[in-house]
Amino acid sequence: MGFFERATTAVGGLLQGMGITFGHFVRFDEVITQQYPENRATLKMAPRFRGKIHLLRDPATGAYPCTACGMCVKACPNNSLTVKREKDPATNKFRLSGYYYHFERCTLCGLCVDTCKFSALAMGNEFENAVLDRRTLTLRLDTPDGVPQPDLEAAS
Amino acid sequence: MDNWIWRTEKIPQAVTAWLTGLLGPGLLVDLAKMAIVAAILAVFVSVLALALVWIERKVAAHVQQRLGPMRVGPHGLLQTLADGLKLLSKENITPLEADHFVFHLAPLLCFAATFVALAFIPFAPDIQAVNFNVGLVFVLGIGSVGVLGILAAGWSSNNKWSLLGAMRAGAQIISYELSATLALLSMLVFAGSLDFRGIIASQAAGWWIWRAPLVGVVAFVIYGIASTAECNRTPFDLVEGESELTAGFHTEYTSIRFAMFFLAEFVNMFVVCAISATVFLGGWMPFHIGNAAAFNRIADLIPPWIWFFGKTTALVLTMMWVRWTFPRLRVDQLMNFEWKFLLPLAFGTLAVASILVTAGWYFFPG
Repeated sequence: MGFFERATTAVGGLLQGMGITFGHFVRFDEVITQQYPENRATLKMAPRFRGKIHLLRDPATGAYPCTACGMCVKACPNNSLTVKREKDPATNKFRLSGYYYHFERCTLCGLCVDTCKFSALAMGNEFENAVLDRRTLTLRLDTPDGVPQPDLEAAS
Repeated sequence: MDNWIWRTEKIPQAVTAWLTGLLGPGLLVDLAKMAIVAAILAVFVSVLALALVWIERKVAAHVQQRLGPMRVGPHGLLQTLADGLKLLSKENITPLEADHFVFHLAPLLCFAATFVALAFIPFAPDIQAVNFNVGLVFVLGIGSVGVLGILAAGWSSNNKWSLLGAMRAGAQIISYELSATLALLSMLVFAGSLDFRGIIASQAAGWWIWRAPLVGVVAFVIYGIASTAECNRTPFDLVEGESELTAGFHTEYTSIRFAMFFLAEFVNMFVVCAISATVFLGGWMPFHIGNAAAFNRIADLIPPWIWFFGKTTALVLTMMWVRWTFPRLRVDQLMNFEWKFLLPLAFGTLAVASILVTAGWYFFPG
């Protein structure tokens, strides 16, 4: 390329860059920063944010798709999950009888979610996790209404 | 349109008349006027620096899709005031091995240079602290005292990084001052005056940026680039560099001395933009087209000081926009760009401008 061609390309590139920054500057609605405590009600969380894990639940039947296979327990690097199972007398198959989540030990690595073959687990969006009693961080996830409940007996 | 908002020359007249009535004619009136103007300028510089820092941070934030300061005052308006107060409350450290006298003098030199330059800028008709028949040359000269302050700061800190940063700043500012001065000179051959008043008066038929065909725009761009380099702003901010020089020449400065460098830097940006607005864009002169009297009268409806601050603000915002868009140059690129490209171009512009003026080939001559 000759000198003038290179100079034109360079100036074109500079102007293109200035166009991009000007586009960002005038679009006040595209600002990413969130004013957290004030906009708590309308806070937009990133879809891939890793919060507490959720045991998914069929909203229609209230049944959990978890089969209590225990693969998540094996995948967990720091023993944050406990799955209790029992034999269903009718079908003679194992079923879930208690899914305990030790959030105090969880590093939110997401390996349990990756491992689950039945898509029964997901990472949530919660991040306000402070509590006054560390025992309340041990949660039972397979509650009848789907809301995780602290389980003080399972807490270690 | 006959009141002081449009005809600002009435303000100094009224103040002089009031002071003469109060103190009687003589030296006292002049001294009182000097004191008043100095106080006004000092307040103006402080408010200007606070405002510019806030605007800079807001521009930076929105260019990067952030919000910037939002907590202190509405939209963070008082943030720079809080930062300034914090800075003043810090311990004032002088390194043990530093050259104490020069170390303390350097920030004052930097600050005084920009403060004095501000005194020559005409904000509106007769709203100008000093009227001087070679005002532009004086402002360019006093601008170089700022370099002396930077070099003195780097040398007296007795720190390798400070010295390297100061040397870079010195080399950069002295190099780019050539292009900046040549670009201004190309317009001065059209204006035929070195007095800020004369320069503005010569643009009553239109601003030089368009009345000087093509040369005006080229010189304007050259001055814009060179003045950005003179202000040590990105993409020419080689004076600072965390990884290579820490903070450059002001590494060893703390508290109010650091604040003075900071203040000088931001006010300097305003000064170069004001000079650019005055020489290329007519200063406080409204947008006039030759002798189209009807159009000119409509442009005159906007008060001259709004024209001046509008133009200067637009240039300042452009400078900030450039700063937050471009990556910085390397030292050798910086010097190559100046000596091999910008300086020949500025000389060429000056030559073409001289030919155009001699032949009278520009819009609305005489």
